[in-house]
Amino acid sequence: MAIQVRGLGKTFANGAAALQDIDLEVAPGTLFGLLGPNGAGKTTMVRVLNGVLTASAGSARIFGHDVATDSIAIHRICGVMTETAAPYENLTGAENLELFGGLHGLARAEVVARSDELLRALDLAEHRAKQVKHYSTGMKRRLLIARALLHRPQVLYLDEPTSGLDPEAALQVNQLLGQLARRDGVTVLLCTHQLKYAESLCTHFGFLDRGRLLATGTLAELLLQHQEAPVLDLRGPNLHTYAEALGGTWQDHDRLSLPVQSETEVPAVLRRLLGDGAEVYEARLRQWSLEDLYFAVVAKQHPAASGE
Amino acid sequence: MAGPRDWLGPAERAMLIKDARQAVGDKRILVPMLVVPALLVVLVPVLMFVGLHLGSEQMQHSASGLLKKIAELHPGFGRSQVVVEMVVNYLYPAQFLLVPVMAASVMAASSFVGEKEHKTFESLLYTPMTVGQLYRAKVLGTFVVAYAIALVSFVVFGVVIDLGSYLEFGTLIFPNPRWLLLIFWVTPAITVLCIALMVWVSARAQSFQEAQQWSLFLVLPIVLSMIAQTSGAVMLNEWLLLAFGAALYVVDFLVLGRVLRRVQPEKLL
Repeated sequence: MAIQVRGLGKTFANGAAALQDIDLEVAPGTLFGLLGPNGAGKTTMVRVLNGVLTASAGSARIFGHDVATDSIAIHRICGVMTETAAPYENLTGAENLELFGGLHGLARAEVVARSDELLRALDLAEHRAKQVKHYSTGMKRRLLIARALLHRPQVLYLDEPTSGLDPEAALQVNQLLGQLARRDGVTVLLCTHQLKYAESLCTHFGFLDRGRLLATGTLAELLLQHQEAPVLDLRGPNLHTYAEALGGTWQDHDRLSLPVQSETEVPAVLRRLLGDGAEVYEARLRQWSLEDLYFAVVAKQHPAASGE
Repeated sequence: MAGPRDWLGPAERAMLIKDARQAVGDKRILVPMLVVPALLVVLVPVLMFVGLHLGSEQMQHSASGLLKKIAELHPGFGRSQVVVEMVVNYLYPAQFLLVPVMAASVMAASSFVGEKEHKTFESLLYTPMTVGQLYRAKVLGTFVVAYAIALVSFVVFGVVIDLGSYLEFGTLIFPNPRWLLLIFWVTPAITVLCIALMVWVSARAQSFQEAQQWSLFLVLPIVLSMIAQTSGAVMLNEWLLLAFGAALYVVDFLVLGRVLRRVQPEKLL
């Protein structure tokens, strides 16, 4: 396994439990989306997995290296880009990369060649000699990605890598990440609260909420685990009279959402409704998206909050 | 203890170059590091010679207790020579220590607390350097820059003093054993102490300015020693400098070692 976590917990000195009893396995070459809102514990998780923070409970291994005792070996094979690890504003983009190349023990010629390659790939080549304080937010973010990739890591941790990027730059970054995982076998742990973005890029997901990992797996596996059936969305003026009998939800004055076991059930439901005098203007079967599933799983954890 | 190889490997060199580049690129760091030495080693000595040349009575009476003692020690000296002797060899050595203290505290505040303030330190923790290596590299980088500024200030001060002394009395009076002891024995020790203080402060202060305020703890004893010297209560000599430097090295060894051993990455994030 690239990442193997068992019963991991982190409680800070002030008593705040940032991570609780986390179990996780990520295979090499996986694009794993760690999903959760701000404050869910994503950054703490990255810090603990890199040995920057000490775990309060449990254990974690990165390609067999224990994060508690072998963090230097882990830093050699991992690249990290987080919002909390900023670039040096008074140095140029190239100088930032030169510094981190040096700290990773790369030869100067290798640093120069690799920097050129990454700055070109991330469309920063013409800004290489500019001080970072003159970079836009998107440029800084791309520089951080270049910095994380400089030493050709086997595991890459990225915290909201495309936040603040224009659509073109975001696409460029996503292509690069896809290529790294598929072609080079790099394991990518992508921390984000942008669920649609994660669904478009990642193959595996983990839902992190208030320090607990609520679910992990591919979208298909997650749907199966949580037995979330597709939803039939109907529109019509008198459908509210059937909501209770069919276990559906009435909303927006003319919309009824009905849970169905599968698409084969749809003709029978429609026949029954039409036979009972329902006026159906529109019918559409909606499969669960990652976003739907995420909110459903979180809502099950906090039923009171979701009912507010 | 870390050996010389541990102190200056390629990674440590990369860190050293980065800290120096940052200092040069940041006016908050560069200006105080250059203005204080410029005032202390050029402007004040030049004003002293100009004052002497114009025969300022006030200057000659401002430290009369010390002047009398120096006149007794050097019966062959004229009044102006006694004043120069007092300023250069009794009053100025303590004052000169403000140069390394200022340079080291500004540079160290930037290197340690500035990293925390600008959220750059975390990125260093993801490199294959231990926290101990990172800190040692930073201590060394800060020391090299601060001591280089002190050395250059020493040379410039020497040129100004010798120029003034030659024009006024036709003799060269700088350097002398006292100043050589000061620059090669006491200055490195006080520079290291200042850096050690800033390493300790880095776990507590949240900003560059806050860290800077802590350097007053080192400036204050220097100012007090200047006052004691001016009153003639303590007469500076080479033995006193040797003892002071030795005491500083002992404190450096104890404080820096203890501070470096107790660094906790969690407090730096």
